[in-house]
Amino acid sequence: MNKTRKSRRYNILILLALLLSVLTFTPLVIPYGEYRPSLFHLPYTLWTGLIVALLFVCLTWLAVLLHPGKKEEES
Amino acid sequence: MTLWILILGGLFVLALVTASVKSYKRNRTLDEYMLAGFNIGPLIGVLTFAAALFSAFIFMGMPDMFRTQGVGAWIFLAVSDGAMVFGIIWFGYHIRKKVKTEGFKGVSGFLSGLYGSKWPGYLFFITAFLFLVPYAAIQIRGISIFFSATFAGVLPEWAWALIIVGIMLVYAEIGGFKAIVYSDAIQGTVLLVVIWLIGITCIKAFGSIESLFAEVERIKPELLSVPGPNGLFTVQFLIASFLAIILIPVTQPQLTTRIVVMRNFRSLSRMAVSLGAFAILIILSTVFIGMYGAVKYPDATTAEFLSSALLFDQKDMVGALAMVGLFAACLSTTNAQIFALGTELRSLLKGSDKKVLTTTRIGLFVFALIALGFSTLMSDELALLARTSFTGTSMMAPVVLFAVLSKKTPPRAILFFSATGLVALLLSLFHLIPQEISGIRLDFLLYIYLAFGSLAVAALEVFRSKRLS
Repeated sequence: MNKTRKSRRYNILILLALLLSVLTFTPLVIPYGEYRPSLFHLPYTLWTGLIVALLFVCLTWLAVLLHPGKKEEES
Repeated sequence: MTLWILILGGLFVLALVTASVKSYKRNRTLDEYMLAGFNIGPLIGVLTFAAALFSAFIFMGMPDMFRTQGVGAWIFLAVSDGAMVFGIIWFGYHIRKKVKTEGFKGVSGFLSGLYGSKWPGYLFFITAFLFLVPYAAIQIRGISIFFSATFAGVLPEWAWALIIVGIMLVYAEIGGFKAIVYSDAIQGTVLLVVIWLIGITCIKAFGSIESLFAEVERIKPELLSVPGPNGLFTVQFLIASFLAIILIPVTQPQLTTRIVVMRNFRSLSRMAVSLGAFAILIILSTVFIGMYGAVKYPDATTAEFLSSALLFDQKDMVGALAMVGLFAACLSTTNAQIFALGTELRSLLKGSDKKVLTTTRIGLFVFALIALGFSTLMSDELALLARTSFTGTSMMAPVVLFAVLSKKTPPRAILFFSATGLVALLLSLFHLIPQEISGIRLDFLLYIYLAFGSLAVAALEVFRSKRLS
């Protein structure tokens, strides 16, 4: 994969991380006073928050794979 | 339980002594003593980063926060930590690139070098001192109230605090940063194992996760949503906490240093991803411990709840391991912070290696004594006090980011914004100015102020360089 394409994909990941950060503070993840629907018996904010945290870790993993300066730094 | 405490505690002390002795080298350089020779691999990296980050605040503060404030604590810490590990990759790459050309002895010296002035370094050092000493004191305070509540009448709180600081100083002075990193690895492992053993016991007490949450719903349903029973987790509070936490690797020197000393970018990357998984695992268990406490000990004090849930409700061996784990968590974070202050001091000093090392060692001793003194003045709200430390150091984020990202000498105008932000925060902490203005939290407003200040300085720089070209 050439560096420009890698760089573009890495920038998309940064945008996705920013979008996820914004979504976290909307009623989609933290509705005031609501704890239903539950998933595997976990209250709403807990399971949506768990998914958000896992998504951040996945984005980090992808960012590692697609980091445009990875080779440059190692050399 | 006493026998188990003696066995496990003995093994733990033996591991610490081994780490110190293995790290000790008679003719080591100053960089080997202070920065472990810039050669930390991913496994040790994740454990030392986790141990420096997750402390008594996680072990004691988070279960208590879930118990009293509810599941919003997950957004407060776990989600913010998830975003933080993404930030480690982004920031880590840029700072390591800069370090390759500029060198690194500590963040303060690094900033002074890049700005071509001693003031950014002094400002960073003063901020780190002001907010790391109370943070270290929180750990000492946390563990000493817990131990004196558990072993009522054996030793007073101050004696427990003195023991912790004494052990920490001995192995930091002998083994240096390498000993701290190795002992962090031991402590990180103990922390993960013990917190899950306790979490599983708490779930088992109710039969299943479903029954545990059903009981919480019956007793106090407000705990299951934001803003929680006391209204703490407002959107403003959560956003301000999110910003303070994602900026930890940028502005808390003990963690910035751990990013810089990783062997290479590959090790740093692996460390960051593993840290994200580690954070989720460890915080998830504290949810169950907190919910258990909400049902079993809804009106107990922090110390009563913790000593019951973490010790007396556990099997002897788990309870003993919890004691060792707590001690380990407190020790690792405290020494990371005190040693970081030593590293920062060293980076500002000039002179021969021998003279600098002697001054730094004296500095470590003095910082530890100050933290010990402070620990007698702290309150019991561990999680909120830790957040104050994160918020305080985060005021320096623009100074660090401009230094790391600027291709030329960074603009000194940014110092004004960070310094005034810091002063405003300090004044609010001493209640000299309000902590809320027109219904908006001051820390939230300060982040807006810093963001606009940074944009203005960046725009001015672009304009200036265009005019020159």
